[in-house]
Amino acid sequence: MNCLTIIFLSFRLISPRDVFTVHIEQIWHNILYCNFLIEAVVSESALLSLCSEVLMERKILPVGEVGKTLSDVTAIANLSAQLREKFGGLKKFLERYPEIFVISKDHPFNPNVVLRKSLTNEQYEMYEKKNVPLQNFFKNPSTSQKQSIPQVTILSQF
Amino acid sequence: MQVHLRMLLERAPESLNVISLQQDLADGVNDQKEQSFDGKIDGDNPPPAILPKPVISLEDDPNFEQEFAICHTFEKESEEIVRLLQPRENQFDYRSSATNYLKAQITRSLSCPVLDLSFLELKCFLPDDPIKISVVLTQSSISTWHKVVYDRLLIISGKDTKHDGDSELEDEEDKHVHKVKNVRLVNESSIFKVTGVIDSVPFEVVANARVDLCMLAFFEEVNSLVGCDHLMKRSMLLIRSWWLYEAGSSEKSPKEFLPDFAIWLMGTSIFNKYHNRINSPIHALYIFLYIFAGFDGNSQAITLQGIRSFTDYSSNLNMWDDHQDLLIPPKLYEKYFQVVNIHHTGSVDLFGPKIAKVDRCGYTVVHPFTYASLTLEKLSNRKSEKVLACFKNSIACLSSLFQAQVKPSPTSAHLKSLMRVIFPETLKKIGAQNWRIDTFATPQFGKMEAFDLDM
Repeated sequence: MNCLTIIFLSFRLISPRDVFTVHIEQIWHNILYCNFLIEAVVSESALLSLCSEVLMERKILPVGEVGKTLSDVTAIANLSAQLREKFGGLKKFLERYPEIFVISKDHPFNPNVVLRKSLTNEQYEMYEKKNVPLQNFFKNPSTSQKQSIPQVTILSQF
Repeated sequence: MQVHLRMLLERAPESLNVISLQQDLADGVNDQKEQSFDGKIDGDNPPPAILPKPVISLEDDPNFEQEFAICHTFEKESEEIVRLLQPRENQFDYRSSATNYLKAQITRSLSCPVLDLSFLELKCFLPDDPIKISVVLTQSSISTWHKVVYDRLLIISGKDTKHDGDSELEDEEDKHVHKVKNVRLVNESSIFKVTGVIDSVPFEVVANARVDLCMLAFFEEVNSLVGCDHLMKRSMLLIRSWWLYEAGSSEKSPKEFLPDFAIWLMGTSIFNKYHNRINSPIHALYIFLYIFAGFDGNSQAITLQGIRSFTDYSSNLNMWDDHQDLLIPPKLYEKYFQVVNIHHTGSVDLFGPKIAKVDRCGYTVVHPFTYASLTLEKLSNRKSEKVLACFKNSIACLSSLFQAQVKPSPTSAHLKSLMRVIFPETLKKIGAQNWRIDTFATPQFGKMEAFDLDM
């Protein structure tokens, strides 16, 4: 990086016009999210957000329950079929994001799933190395049994 | 001709109100009975339109080039005004806090996502721009949302409240006190919104404003295309300040006739068409005033492609009939067209004459993706004249200012400052009084930021 580049970058960093800079990806994410909930148009980004929000609210759920909650929230009758067609199913979709979701090995078809960030590093290590079941880390089962539709509100995190 | 129209019909999505000329194709051209402005057949009382007035062209007017060349004299001053208007950090902080507070209140009563829709998203807003929020609801819950939100906001109305810990939206650091007041439930043609004031800033809560979100993203992308250190956003601050504080400063202000999206669309159309000529906000303002002062609401409409003439007395508008050097590439337009009209499959034909049926009124500003009207109501000719008068007055003032630079005379000695001639109210409000209602009350801020009136 030469001197001119550094001067240019320094100027850009302090330029008062940077006040206008916007990350358009955030607005687009919100559009896709609306399309999912309002127009029943499934997109990867919106599905990822909604799955995360469901699990943030419910902590731990079997994959099938996540799918059922998604159907309830979006009111898409054939969501399961759409997910199978687009991503090979919800389980396969979640497996594509190991940095976000942790899927237990306790069931071949309908395993429990949690958010990676819901686990401490210690818990994650115990699960990985000692095969401690994920549900052991969530002492209060009432949280996961809650039947209400989650309050999906924290869009800005994605 | 019939074959071409038939091709258009096959491509046109039904949901768009794109003109359906099937009847015309069957019966021959139907010129006798035209559709009136409200879409009803009105053959006996044709609208008071005359033959379309030619769309004003910059190249036709020698005065334009002369005055446009003088614009650069005021570049520095226009940048000063923009600097004065552009949002400050404490405005962002305040608006985020107030928006989050409202979102928390709404999600407490409605289990649904809530999105920010205001120009905070573009980081390009004026101090009194409303905070706009959209709830996202599935069809099953859309019928009652407004009552639930209205009731919730009414409960907290008039009380000093802050985040109290049981909301997911709460920011640990955000302990600011907000006061909601003047909560109202508004029904605009069966579309509900809840309005009110938080502290001193107006707010609006609407439902499923997906199309508005697309428009914000579209404006942001056009701003990126224009580049030059956010020239479009800087120009829009200047233009909107003129419209809201200067043109709309009198008691019988027409400012509510053209809402924010209409002004943004008009500004975007200027950049779309004249992007090669605009180097600073004052250029944008001058072309904006010049072009729209020559607009004839009786026979023309404002579109993203510029001013277009109606083909006849009907609401049919030829959206694309020539190939201009437009800034917005067809691919970008098509991307947003598809996302707005999400269930429309097939491509958008941008390379041929496309006749669209639009919401025609005395001052028609056409939504680029739905062809609906961007004006708040169907403006009558009388109201349209008021709007037009604002443009004509301001372009006359600007012309006097420019002429005074070329031929100084004793009578025009006072015509030196763009601020004093075109932006006196802005100068008074934001410059001298540091009128920023969207900040937390910090007494020292006013003193620090007060503007030098004698510059």
